[in-house]
Amino acid sequence: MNSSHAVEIESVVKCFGDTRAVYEVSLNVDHGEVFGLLGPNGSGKSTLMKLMLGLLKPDGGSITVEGFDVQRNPIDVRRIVGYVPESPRLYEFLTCIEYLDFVADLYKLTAQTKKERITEFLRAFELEGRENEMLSGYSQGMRQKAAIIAALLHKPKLLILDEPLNGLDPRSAKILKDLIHKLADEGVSTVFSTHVLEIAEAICSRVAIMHDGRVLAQGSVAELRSKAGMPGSTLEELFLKLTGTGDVREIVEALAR
Amino acid sequence: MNLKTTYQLTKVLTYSQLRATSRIRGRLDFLRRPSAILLIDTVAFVGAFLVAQKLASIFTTTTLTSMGSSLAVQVMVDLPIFLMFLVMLSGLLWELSYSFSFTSTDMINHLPITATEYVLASSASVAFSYSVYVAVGLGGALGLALQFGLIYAWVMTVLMSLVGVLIGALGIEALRAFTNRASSLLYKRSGRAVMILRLVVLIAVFVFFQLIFNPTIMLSLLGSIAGSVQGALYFPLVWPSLAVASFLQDNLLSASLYAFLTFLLGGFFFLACARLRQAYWMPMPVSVKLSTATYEPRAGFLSRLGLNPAESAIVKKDFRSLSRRREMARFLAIPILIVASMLIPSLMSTQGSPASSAGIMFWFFSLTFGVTFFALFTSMISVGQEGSAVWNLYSSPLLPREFVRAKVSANIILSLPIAIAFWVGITLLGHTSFKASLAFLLVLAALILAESFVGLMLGVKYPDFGETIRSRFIRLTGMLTGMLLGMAIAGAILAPYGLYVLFKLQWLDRNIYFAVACFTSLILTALISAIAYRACVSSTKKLLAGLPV
Repeated sequence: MNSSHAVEIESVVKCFGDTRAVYEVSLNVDHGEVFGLLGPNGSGKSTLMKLMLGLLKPDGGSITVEGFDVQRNPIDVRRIVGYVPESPRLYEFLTCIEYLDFVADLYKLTAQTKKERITEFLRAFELEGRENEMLSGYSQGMRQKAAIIAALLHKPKLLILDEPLNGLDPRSAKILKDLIHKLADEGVSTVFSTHVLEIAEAICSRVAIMHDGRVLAQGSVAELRSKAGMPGSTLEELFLKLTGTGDVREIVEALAR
Repeated sequence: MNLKTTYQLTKVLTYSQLRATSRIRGRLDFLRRPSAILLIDTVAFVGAFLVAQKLASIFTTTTLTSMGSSLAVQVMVDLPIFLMFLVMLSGLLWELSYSFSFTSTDMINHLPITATEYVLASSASVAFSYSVYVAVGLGGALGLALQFGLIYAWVMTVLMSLVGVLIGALGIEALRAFTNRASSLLYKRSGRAVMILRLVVLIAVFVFFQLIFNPTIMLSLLGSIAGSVQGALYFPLVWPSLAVASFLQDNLLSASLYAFLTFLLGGFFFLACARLRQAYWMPMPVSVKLSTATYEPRAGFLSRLGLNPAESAIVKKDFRSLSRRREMARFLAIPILIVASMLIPSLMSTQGSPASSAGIMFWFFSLTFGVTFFALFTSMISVGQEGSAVWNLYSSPLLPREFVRAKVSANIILSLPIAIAFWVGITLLGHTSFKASLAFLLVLAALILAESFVGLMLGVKYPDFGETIRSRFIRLTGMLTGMLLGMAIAGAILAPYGLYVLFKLQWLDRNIYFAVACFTSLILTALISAIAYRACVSSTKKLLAGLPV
């Protein structure tokens, strides 16, 4: 389906009881764009990502992914999206290869395609030689790699990555970052959340800063600097100012006492 | 041992169990506190007491006084071992569901708590969680005791029941340690054969523990050794009941001896469990390499059964789940346990032999019950057992009907070999006719099909994905509804054959009636399965529409 944006989010609201996890959020992600979602813990980033995939039902507003309404066509959306949650829980009783084979089958990949892609990704993420080990014995970083591979197997048009660099060693993190860029060049869009602001600054073409379920600002880092009237500032300084968590000196001093 | 720490830990464990399993929110939030258990216990005690009083008054106002008195005596004697078994059975079903990695990273392992403190706190918490059994049992016993003048015996029953319940709870602790040990020991080896061996060992441990705590077996044993003090000494788990029995026979010396031995047994269990926990509690998840073969995807026999890749993938995963997860082994032990606990006492009597016609019917009933319960239960838990890894399915383009077909297929493929093994056994041992043998096979196949669909229908509607110390995989409402519905459906499918056997309809040609019975039963099965399938697909649509929060 053709659409002007890869993701279109319009006034989305999601509440859990009395807590407003996401409130009146509107944003677009372009085709081939790497879009960063930034915000302190509990700001609504993960909830927004789950809403994009149709894993949660919004209480208001609408979301379309590649022209598909997430609520009306959840299966069509899931066919073209690759998702890595914040703490991916995998089937620990499976070996890595069994898990990837399982996921590939859910996307109905052919035997040939499965073999090619799984072998290629295992090699790229340095899991080759350990693919027959059960996931229960994997370290956090290795599990993260397995989840990332699983999300990439079916060549998605949109990648939703919730803190994907958690636990990854520097080499794998570099591979993932380069891969995201390469996929972006091929037209694959990525929505990416992270707490590491340097990484967001380095790989995202645009970012949205969330706080208490709302988007406080969105645009390229340069645009945000200019809007905030902080030319020459780092993304970290911008983030701390916008989210009102700037002065941490007193807290640190109190903790050190 | 620090008693204050033990008490605090007992409170924490009870709170964590209550809050992990309770879905009550809002105004009924007070039900998520330990005091709610006390309230429920009080209500259960009074309720059971009133019902027993009413029942006893019926006995005393009619000519059945001696029968009522015998019943009261039997209740007093059997209650301690029955309660011990109930706690043990509940433990097997609900207390052993911590996954391997979960246990090894459990916060409790890193806190300054000794093994004895933990064992006492954990067993006290388990015993408290299931105290409603004790309340019902002792309330009912008090009602009978007052009516038949057995109040002193009731006090003895209370004492022995409490120790019995504690022994049952300690048995769960021992079982936890043993399963950890079995897992750790075998996990150090690699290969698929070891996984199967591990499964067999775990099932054997479950079956062994359940059988030694089984009241039917213990009561048969009690019957066969009654009056023989020397014989009873060799069966420690019947000591609590023997103490009550001796008391009722005014043999105070024997009663004191068995009561003393019961306390000694409790103490021994406690110390043994503390040692076991110290030695085996914390399993070390290690890397397990299952093969060294290079990856070669191929279409297996599941695709030849008509399942598409997504469906086959789920079936394969579910088989691996059952055969590799420690917390799932208990479910595979269920048919063996049911059949063994029904057949062992019958084998102790000469009439229970499959060679006699009464024996063959009992064997048929036991095996059918075992298979039916297994198919129903594994189907009911098949959705909830996905646990927190369920997001893998939610985020994939899986259609509801694919999910239903996969889950039902997995359950049928798993249950059928067990049914066929039972069928071959009964056919060979009972020397049954071709017709009876065919009917038995049809009944088993029909029951597996219908119960798998019905089980899944409830599994999808009431899944419990929580990975807690008492993971049920299905919510209590679903479990209870499933049990009742499952039994009703089994009754309906068996009814045409039952009429044939019971009434021996002479006005109708037996062969014609047999054919009609088979046909009716199969039509009923098809109808039930079709209705349940539609309900499954509809509930799966709702389920997959949003990740449970």
